[in-house]
Amino acid sequence: MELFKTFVRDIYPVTANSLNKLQELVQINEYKKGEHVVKLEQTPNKFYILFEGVIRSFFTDIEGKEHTKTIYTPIMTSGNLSALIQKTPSTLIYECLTDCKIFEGDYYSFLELSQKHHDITIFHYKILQSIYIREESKILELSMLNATDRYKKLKERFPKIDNLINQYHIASYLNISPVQLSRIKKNLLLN
Amino acid sequence: MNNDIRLFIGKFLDLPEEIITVFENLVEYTELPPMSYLAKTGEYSTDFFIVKSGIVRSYYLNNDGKENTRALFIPGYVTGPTSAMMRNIPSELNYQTLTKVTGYRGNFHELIKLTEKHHELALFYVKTLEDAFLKAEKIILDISTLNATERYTALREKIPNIDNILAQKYIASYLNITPVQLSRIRKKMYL
Repeated sequence: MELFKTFVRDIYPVTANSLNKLQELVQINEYKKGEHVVKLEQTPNKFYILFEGVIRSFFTDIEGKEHTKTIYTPIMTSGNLSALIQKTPSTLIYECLTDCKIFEGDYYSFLELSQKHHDITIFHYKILQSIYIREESKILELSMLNATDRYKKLKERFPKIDNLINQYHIASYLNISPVQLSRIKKNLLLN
Repeated sequence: MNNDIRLFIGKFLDLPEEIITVFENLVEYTELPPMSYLAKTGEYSTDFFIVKSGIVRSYYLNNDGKENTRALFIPGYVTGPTSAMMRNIPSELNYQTLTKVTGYRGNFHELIKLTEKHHELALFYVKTLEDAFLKAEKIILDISTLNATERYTALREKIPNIDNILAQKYIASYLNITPVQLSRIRKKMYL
């Protein structure tokens, strides 16, 4: 629980009372590699805070091709936020790429706390800000950067990513084929 | 002040009168001529802008000096380098009016200070962030899964007179294709 307290306080110094209320919301859960934390077509009600392991969110298009949307490593909030906000079934799958340890809690109970306590609302929007910043950065990266630069950015964020998840998933995240990824890595090594 | 701000707020939340007044006092009605700048790449910006009429675009210059249109903001949208202001960094994009634009300009940092003072305003800010996130996520999804024809069709649905307001080369860059490809797509659509 100390990890959770630190996580909260690092984002915003909520009162001791609010910290207790937030703590009561969450419980720690372990998932095995391959498990789906959020399933396709499930209408989710939980938020997640990843403490150990790697998760990816992905969807499969009409042609059966997988698109990896986001890669989550510790310590990050996760879960299908748009499905939670709109109360719709998830069109994304959240899959553990390794064994994971996750703090999870009921999203709507959290909203009630945010509704009631000003400091929790500020904590809430600070998290939303970082999620929004992440989405905006991804849009810019997809448009402005070529695949090599996007791979470099990924390595800047997650230096050990090549050891943690397999090349097929990294390629899908970068929107390229595994062959292209292999070429990029070779070129980077030669330089 | 007329009903504009009240209507804008009403899309997100029911706020008490005093809080609506606080927000109304934060923003200022502004008119901008076509092709003027709300923010420029590399410059620190302080304002968000709620579009009342007209269209704003964000764009960046690529390495060849070509303009790439990133997003289009229509009435009801909030524009300006919001994620850069959240991070306290210079704007990564240029924000430019494509037509005469009217709307309401407000200081972002003042808004944040006010959310710390007024719980309801913090809750309102949460709602606007959720909306901004949903819009950003949709863009990522569209870039990853829709082809250029589909994205052009979606653009014309969003902004029916876009072909009159934005030059073909800018529409092409927004769709991430060449003007020749756009011309072909339009021919196929009998335009």
